[in-house]
Amino acid sequence: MDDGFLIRQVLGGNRNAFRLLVIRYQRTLFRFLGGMGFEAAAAEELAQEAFLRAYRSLAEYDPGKAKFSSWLFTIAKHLALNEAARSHRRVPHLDWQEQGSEGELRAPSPSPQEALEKAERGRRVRQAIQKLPDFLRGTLVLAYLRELSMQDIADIESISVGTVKSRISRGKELLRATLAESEE
Amino acid sequence: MESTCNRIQERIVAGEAVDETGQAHVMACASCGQVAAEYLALDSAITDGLADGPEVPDGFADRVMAAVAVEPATPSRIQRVLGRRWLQVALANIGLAVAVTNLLRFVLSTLLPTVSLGGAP
Repeated sequence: MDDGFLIRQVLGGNRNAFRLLVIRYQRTLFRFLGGMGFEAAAAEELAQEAFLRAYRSLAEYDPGKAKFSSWLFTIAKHLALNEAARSHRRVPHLDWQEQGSEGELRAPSPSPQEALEKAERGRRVRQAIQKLPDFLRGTLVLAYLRELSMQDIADIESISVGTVKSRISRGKELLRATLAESEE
Repeated sequence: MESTCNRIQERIVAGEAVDETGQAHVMACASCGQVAAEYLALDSAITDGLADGPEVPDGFADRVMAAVAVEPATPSRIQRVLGRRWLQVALANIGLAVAVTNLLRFVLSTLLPTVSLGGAP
């Protein structure tokens, strides 16, 4: 079932079809919000609000202009930036694993030492991502979700594909420099 | 050579595909090889870092649907357009103007039945 079919179902009064849209995009949305620096509880709140706003405005969505995923991520991005601005914080530098399951390491690894090193690397990368300017962070995180095309990202950010590429390059250069500094 | 390196390194940094000729160059060029290695490692680190993001909590979709259930039904596009205040006011004004015009025509035709252009004297 493609998004268009599900959306028509929802607009026709079948609210349950919306559940399938939620299930389809919830994981990517959480990863995006995590990448934007929100811890688990805030990510859940923002993701829920994004889905609710999408539901309320579904009749306004124009499939001819953008894919549903692009439209949904545009809503989520605005919510995330507003929340970050409202709370006057550079969203916390976090260890998501600490939020939930007592430091449980999800990725399988051959040894505890390697797992710790990987977790530490991940923590440093996330911290470095949070230090990026908002506009670079958003574009870079969207690109590394690996589920959106350059055109999708361009639609979400309201910029050209060329600008998406240059932001990704700039973001990666800054990340590399920040990570190199943190290793010194 | 330097322009070749620049072109290839730009593509590597941007995460864009490098063609076969470019790949052969990367294998032979120490500078491009180093950039390729650094950015491959960076790509992997970013992907891993983001993959460890917050998990979707159990029952999340249920909570969204519970919130959706108390929302009014999503109106169709036509209903939303017709529901706009400015459009309602505009339609009401057009209706009023038509009614007034028809009333005037009726009054004039009743009071002045013989006055019409080209009518009989």
